[in-house]
Amino acid sequence: MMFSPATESPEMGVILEAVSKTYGRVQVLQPTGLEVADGEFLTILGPSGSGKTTILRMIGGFVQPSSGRILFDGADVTGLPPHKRPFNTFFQDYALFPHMSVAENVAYGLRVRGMGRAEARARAAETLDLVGLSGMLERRPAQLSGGQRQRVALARTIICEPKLVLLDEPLSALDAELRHHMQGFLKDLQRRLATTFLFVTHDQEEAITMADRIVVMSQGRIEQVGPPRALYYAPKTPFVARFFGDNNLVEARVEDGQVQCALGALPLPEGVSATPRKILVALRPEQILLSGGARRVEGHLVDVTFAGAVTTLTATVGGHELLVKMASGANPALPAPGERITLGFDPAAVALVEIAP
Amino acid sequence: MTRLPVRLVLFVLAAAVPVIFVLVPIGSFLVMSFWKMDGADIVPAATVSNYVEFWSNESYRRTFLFTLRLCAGVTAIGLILGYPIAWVIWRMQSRWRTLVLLLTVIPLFMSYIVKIYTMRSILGLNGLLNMALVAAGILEKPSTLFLYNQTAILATMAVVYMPFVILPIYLALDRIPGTLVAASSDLGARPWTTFRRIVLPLSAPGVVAGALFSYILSLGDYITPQMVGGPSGFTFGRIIWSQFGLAYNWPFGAAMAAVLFVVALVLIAALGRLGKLDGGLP
Repeated sequence: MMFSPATESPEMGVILEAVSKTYGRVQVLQPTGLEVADGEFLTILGPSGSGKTTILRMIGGFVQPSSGRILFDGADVTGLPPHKRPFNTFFQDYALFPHMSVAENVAYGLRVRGMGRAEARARAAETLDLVGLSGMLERRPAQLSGGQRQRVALARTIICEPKLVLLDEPLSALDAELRHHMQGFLKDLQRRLATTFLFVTHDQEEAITMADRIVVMSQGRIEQVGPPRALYYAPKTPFVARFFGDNNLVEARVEDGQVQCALGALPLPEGVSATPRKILVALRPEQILLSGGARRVEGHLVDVTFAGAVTTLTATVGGHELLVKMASGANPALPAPGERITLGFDPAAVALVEIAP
Repeated sequence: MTRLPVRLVLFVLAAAVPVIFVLVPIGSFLVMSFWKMDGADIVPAATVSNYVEFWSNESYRRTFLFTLRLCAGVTAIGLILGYPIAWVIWRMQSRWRTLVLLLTVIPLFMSYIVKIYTMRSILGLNGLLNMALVAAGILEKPSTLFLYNQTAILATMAVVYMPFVILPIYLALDRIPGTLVAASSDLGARPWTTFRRIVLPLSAPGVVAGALFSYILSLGDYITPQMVGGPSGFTFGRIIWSQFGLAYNWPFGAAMAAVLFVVALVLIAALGRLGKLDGGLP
């Protein structure tokens, strides 16, 4: 797989060994292996029903895997109930206790471990300061706004200094602006706490901006694991290639040690099998240039869309429609739609995407 | 002709139902409790003599206090047995839950008299309890100890009113979001701690409702004591009933009914406060 940062010792962190989950006849998670390195911000990304939440619940201890093992720092925690795991979950609906004050909610984890009331309360106040919510210790959850409740839930999740923080779509209930703010806040908090965050989301933009590594899931299995850049520029599967924003996918063939497609004959990168077969090549719209580029291809301009900072061109090259994105200029010298256009790209920027047999 | 304000007409109609069927009957017996008997006739008056008579008669007062204690016992048994039953049903897998819940509340659809006869046949000389104890060798011959005494009233009432305790507790438990229980466990609470600090307080409204149902229903019950209590089962409900029947002293019966009514109101007001412990669970 891709490189994984900060895995000095393979024993540290959480390791899933071929865990699967079956409900009746439905297998929601195929046997899956995954390593969560100590201290990283790992995002599990996938559409609903992809099995991402199942993995999160298994690590939290709320769902028992049908097969496989879960290891933490080398110890088998598969059968441990949630209260015996050193992980804490941030619940999507916050799950604040309605009959307790903000202070009692945040201090709960310390109190059930036997810490005295005064000390736990002081720690709760400190933790609330850390998440930017002060002076509301005596309020009830019902008296808080959505954003304030979220901060209370966050403080309650991190107060016991968990080895791993599990976040189940924590931002999906927020409006765009607050969501954007909280993305930066969570990332910053994770750095300050220097703890592992496992973040589940269906929002690819959120995943790209926040994660050290992303696990892309689809239909109960992992498609690809890697840092955001690797997934964005070097997708391994058609699903991943289509999942992150706009992409140009062109059908191609591997023949005679080369890749043949509408963009011309491209060299086969080192380490890629030369077995003749059908594949796809992926090239990001912003990697296609109007001028320059090691390769030039001829085509026709179809359409130009100005969207502020970015201008999108649609062109056809060898019967294939290509999207081209470029920074908008004041007076772009563009041919009129229908006329010929020459496009450039760097063959090294082209990603080869294997089609599943 | 002026048009009738439609809203006013609707309001009057809607208000008429509770007024006619609830307030008028309550008001009428409250009023009658200040009337008096003149020979065999009920005469309107404004006297508190009925209340004075009730409080100065030691046997009435003793029966009244005995009944309060009896109903407290019925409610306590109902809660001690009913809460765990409701809890077990709540924790069941959903396909069994509906079935067991139905079995639990089916007695609510049965005739009250049938249930009492059932209890009589269980507790009686040739009843199930005696047969079982004799068969087990614990008793040599069937005992008459189980029926026609105060314990029999307590047991029968506890059984009869148990569904009224279980159902509201179950409904309160069912309202608790699963993520709250999960969050408590996630934060390190053992199952018992989660129960004590999350589940129990959040189910308090159900406990209060169940306790009120059980207490108030058993407080007014005059049939169960008569059928399984025998001569020793003289409860306040029976005294009131006899004033409207045999003794034919309606004003006195009304006064004692008013006392019972006040007890119920005080309980509802007092326990209603406890029911708000859940912090406004949606």
